[in-house]
Amino acid sequence: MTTPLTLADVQPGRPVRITHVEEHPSTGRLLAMGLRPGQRVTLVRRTAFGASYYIHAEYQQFGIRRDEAEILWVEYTD
Amino acid sequence: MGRIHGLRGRIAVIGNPNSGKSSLFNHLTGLRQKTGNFPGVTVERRSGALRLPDGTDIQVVDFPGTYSLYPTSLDERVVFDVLSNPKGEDFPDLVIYVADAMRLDQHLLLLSQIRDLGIPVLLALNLIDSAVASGVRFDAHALGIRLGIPTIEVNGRTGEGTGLLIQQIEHLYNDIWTEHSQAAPFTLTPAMQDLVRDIREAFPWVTRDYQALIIAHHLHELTYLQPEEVEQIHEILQRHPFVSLRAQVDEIMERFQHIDRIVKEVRNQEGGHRNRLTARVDRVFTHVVWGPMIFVIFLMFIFQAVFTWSTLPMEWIERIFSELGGGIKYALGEGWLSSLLADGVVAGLGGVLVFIPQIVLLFLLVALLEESGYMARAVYLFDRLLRKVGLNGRSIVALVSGTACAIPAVMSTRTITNQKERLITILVTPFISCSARLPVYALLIGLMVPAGKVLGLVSYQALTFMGLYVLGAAAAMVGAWVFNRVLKTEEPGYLLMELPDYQVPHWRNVVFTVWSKVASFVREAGKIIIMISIVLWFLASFSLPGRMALAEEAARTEAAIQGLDEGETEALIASQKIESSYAGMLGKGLEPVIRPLGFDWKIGIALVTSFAAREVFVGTMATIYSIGSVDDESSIRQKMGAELNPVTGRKKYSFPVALSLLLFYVFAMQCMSTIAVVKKETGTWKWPLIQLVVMTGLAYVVSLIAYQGLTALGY
Repeated sequence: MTTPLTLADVQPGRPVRITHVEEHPSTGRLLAMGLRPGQRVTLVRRTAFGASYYIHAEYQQFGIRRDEAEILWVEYTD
Repeated sequence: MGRIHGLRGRIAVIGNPNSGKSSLFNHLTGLRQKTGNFPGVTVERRSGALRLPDGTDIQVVDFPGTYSLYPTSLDERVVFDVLSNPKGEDFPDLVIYVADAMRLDQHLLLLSQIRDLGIPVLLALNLIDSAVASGVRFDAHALGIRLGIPTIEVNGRTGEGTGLLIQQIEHLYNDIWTEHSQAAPFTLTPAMQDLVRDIREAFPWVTRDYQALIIAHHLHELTYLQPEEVEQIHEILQRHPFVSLRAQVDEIMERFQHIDRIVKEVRNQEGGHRNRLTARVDRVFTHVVWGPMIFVIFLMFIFQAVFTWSTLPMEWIERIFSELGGGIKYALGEGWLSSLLADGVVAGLGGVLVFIPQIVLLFLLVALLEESGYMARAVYLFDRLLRKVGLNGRSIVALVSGTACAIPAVMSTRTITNQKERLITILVTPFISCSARLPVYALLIGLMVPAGKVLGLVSYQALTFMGLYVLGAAAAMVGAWVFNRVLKTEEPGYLLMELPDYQVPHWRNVVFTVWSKVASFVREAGKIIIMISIVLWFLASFSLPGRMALAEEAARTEAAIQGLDEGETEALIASQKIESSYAGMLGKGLEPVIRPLGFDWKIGIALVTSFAAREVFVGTMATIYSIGSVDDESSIRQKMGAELNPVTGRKKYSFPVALSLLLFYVFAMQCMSTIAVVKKETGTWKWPLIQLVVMTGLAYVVSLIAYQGLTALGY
């Protein structure tokens, strides 16, 4: 049983899988850039005060803002 | 040779950001490139000619990188705007779609959308070395068959495969183009089918269902629709249940289902590995502490390089143009024509070209950071900080470049995709103290600040210098905060960006970037700068009939009485002439306005002439104080320092006057070149004029407070 969590809450270094993307003006862009349900991602690190997130997904890295990470619902895969 | 009827000889290069699109474009077109804007928007449009083996020239246009036909930034809107309008000038015969093989699934999304618009597509599958090295293999042939479109493997870095690509292009133009049918990646819901049918019935030029859908999604953003057409489509939309955002998400998900199936078939290995070098470098470069520190070191290096390495070539350019001016005067003799050519046109041209070493160096270094993939990290690191005042992570590039020169700095804002954030960056960048303010600061600080040292370590003068830079930077931040409150935008702000793998910059791309930016500076800003130079030349060289001759006569008499030698006489004549010129009249006319700041008409003249460039202030002061050599800064300082105020009998360049003047130069928009480049970059006179009023207004108020305050305190 896993508690629902967003990419903004996960522990750095632990791989997760995206389960759902909330509707938001940025949703289309997130999906188009490959951050879509089923995709495995890892939060690598944050900038100071948790403002921006460095994440890794299949062959590439992204920088995203906290509010963008908050619409990505995920579950741990390990 | 059978040509398909109605082809226009125009090809579009389209792809996601970081797909290697621009590299391929460079390989296809070589140096024969032109930069301009897409019609109606200030989005950069690069085009070049591709010569087919049969000798025909085809125009190739490079489009901004975009992830889908539902973009979030204004730049990317150009893609759907052009592709949904078959009547438009830029509508292509063929799209060369560039996709990175490593991120095939993501990159096939936009491709499948473009296919549905019914435009012939050629897929250039960019197989960069790192893809090969990582052991992932693709069956490009199978991919082409599955997609139903010709697919060519290329290497964006080396240009491998470009020949085959050109062959395929020629096939299209010679009517031997075959496309295979493919399973539809996306089907319209019954409700959407009704909607697109209604749109297609009302507008016969809409020939595809998906084209109608794109028009419905972006109705209010399309530049080519007439207001009544928008109204008509709006009415159609009212009759149907259509929620744009929901429909976009559903469509993208459906397309990806289809794409994922295809990718599984043609790729031999599941992905998941990180580029090791990138991971290792980023552990330091994006570190919460080391990251920002490394960035500051990079910036200091850039600043230092732009500042010092450009000195020598700048001196050469200045010398060449002063020799050229002298040569013209010698060849044509004295007269208004030779003066116009030498002091107006040639001096103006020199004033433009003298910035080129700085622009080249700055863009070279910035292009290297950009191409290597580092710049994306800087944006990631500083996004939050700059967002607080309405700027963008990318603004940091412009703000730092501004310490060298505002012109390349303003041009570097093109990488900011949010138009409001870009505009604010452009508006506040000139607050950053540039290198042209240095000579002015040096002269005035020398007058005002004693030479001693704080605790025997740092000189008061150096501290004052630093203070002026800090003041400029603070004004930029506060200015950004204010503009952010005032300006409205509908564009959502976002960071979400790729942090591409690090790579060795490719010289071709770097050279093309630098070349196109320098060329566009010379072409666009150059025109305006030369025009203003000629106006300033006219103001400084002419006056009401007879006044100049009278002034020269008076100066000669005066010189004879004082027994001055030839050089001193010439200097005195120049001084008297500029006093009686239109510029002198302007200076005197300005005096009532600037007297509350502690400035007299002499400073007034220098304010007028130094609008050409701030450093002209020193030269003008030299002329007014009739010093033969402009370079002799210390003697100007002595003359200015020795001058007494006829009313008070005290020193004219007292502490309050000098400080007031310094503050004026920190804040005022005293640079026609910047105005020219802001006009060019924003596409309207509105913003440079607002900038001029706000900056110079602020300068006036600050100087007024400083001068009046200090005088009241008895300084």
